[in-house]
Amino acid sequence: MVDPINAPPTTSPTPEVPYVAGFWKDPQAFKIAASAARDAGHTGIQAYLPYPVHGIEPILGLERSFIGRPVFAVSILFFIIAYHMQYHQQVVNFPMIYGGKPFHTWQLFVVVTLETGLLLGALVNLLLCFHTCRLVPNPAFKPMHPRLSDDTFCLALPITASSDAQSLVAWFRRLGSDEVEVDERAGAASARDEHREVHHA
Amino acid sequence: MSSDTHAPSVAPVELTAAKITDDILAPVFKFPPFAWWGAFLTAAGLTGALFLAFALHCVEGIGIFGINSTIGWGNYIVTYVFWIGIAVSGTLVSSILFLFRQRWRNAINRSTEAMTVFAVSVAGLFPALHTGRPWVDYWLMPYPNDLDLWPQFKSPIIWDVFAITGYATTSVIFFYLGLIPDLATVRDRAKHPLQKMIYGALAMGWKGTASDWRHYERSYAQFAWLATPLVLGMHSTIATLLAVGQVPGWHSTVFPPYFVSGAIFGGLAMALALLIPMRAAFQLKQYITIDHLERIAKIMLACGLIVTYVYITEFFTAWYSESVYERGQFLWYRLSGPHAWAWILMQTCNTLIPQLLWFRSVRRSIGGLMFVALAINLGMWLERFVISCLSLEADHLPANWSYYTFSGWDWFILLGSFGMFFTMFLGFIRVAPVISIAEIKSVLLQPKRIHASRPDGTNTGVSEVNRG
Repeated sequence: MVDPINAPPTTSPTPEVPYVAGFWKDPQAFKIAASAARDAGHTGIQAYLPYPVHGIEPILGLERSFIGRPVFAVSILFFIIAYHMQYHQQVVNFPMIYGGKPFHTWQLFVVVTLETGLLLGALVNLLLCFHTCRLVPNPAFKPMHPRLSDDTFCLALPITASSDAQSLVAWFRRLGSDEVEVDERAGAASARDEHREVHHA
Repeated sequence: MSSDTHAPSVAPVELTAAKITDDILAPVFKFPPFAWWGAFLTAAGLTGALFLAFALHCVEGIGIFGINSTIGWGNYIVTYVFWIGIAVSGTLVSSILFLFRQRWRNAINRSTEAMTVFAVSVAGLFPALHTGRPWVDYWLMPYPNDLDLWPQFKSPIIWDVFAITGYATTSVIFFYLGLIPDLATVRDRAKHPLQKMIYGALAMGWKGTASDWRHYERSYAQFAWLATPLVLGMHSTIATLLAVGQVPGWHSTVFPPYFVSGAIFGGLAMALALLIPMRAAFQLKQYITIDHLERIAKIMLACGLIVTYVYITEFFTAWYSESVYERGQFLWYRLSGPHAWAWILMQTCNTLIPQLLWFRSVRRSIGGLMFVALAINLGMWLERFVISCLSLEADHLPANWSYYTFSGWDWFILLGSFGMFFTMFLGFIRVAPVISIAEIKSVLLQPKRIHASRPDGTNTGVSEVNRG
């Protein structure tokens, strides 16, 4: 049994190994299955959700995203750069009396400093989101299941020596999944249709 | 006047994830009705008029408009501040209400974010053209050049350049980031190969893994944190643009909070004016309920009271200052000058009519809300007209006093700005979900907090079950 508190993250971004996937319409049944997969000690669990479901992260051993800290750091860095740019221009490079104010008037540098830092923070935030979610324009994208972005939840478990396809299919059925699908790469291209079953609970 | 006072806020139809998707994506996959085409082509025609006026401005110069040597800030600045104000309220809904965990915002945040992006796009054109030589606007940016010239960072004009650039960029990427999961839903629902390809490219290969959602939600929240100071800073900067000037009428109150509250006030009125017909036309009353509209009305009422307080403060400060020109501006020129009609109409629209929102029957009446929203929109445009033009008309030098009138091209600019905004908005509601599908599902289909167990009776450690 894996300790859910101290368990390492058990998900990977894409199914890179052959897998068996179970599909659910009900988010609660999906959460129960994810919890059972964690308790059974499965690793490399992949979970697909059409919309965020509260509380799924601790079940899958996912930690809080790291994105906040680099964005904060970049914003602070560009606050400093923007302030320095203004100081350099107003005091060193092109000192000019403007409105009778001193060359270095920090109050008048606030807006450009703030806006520059926040803008660059926002851009880095976007890039980090694209990077962590592996988002690139993909006109030929084929979803694993046509309703994964609509109303279907999916749990994919890798086929390993200790968990063969047949036992995983049976395991998913016991958990009441609406459909079970075996990855074609598991050497069972035709098994896709054979193993697909729809249970109407 | 149709009233929904006693109507249930949500229709008694069981919601499922698939039904939500069907309802929200219906406008995307259906051929638009004639009414939409009529509105779209009218708006597109007005946009054409706008760009015709811009083109003539570039050829003939800024003299084609009604401004003169006294009133140098006319329609361009008035309409610019009006549209920026509209944009501000979108960020209020998408960011500030998000940070306050107001989940009711999920029904309206997509449309208000779109409103923000389109309003900023329209607004950004005006200062860029008002420079007189828009083809050299890049001089406003601090870029390396042979003459070692810099923009003047102590000037509020430059602050405005940075504020608008930062806000517009952040609004666009915030809006797009929010769209990505929903674009993936459209991609997976699309039948036509071209639609699949376009939405596939726009959805950026979104897969929706638990890990993706974890980073995505964190990034979204981060944007909310970044956008909030950006928007408050931006509109405060525009207010400062006026307040650092010496013109009477621009010092009698604290301009930044005045502008921010006024912007939210007017922007939410525009949001109502867009949401009310949209929810009816697309059968979205189950998602954008009368409760949502009432909450918007309550925020409008609160902001309207702040604006009213500011109007009173301005008069008191002008009187108390004993400055002849401040007193003259407020106690004589605005009340009885040649543009007194604008001030009186502004007060009627922004101070008197919003008081109707104290009545629950008005807040829950579609006709009543629409009337108040349209009145506030008119009033907020007039407010900017009064602040900008009336103040400039009667400045410190009586020999300089003048009178501002619209030229024909000013009407092209004003009406064309509405045309451009509505062209973009009408186009948007046909190509993208007008309600955030993923967010509304996560709210409406959120599990209740009760104990759950596996089929074999053992505890799952999961303490929630789905409501549906």
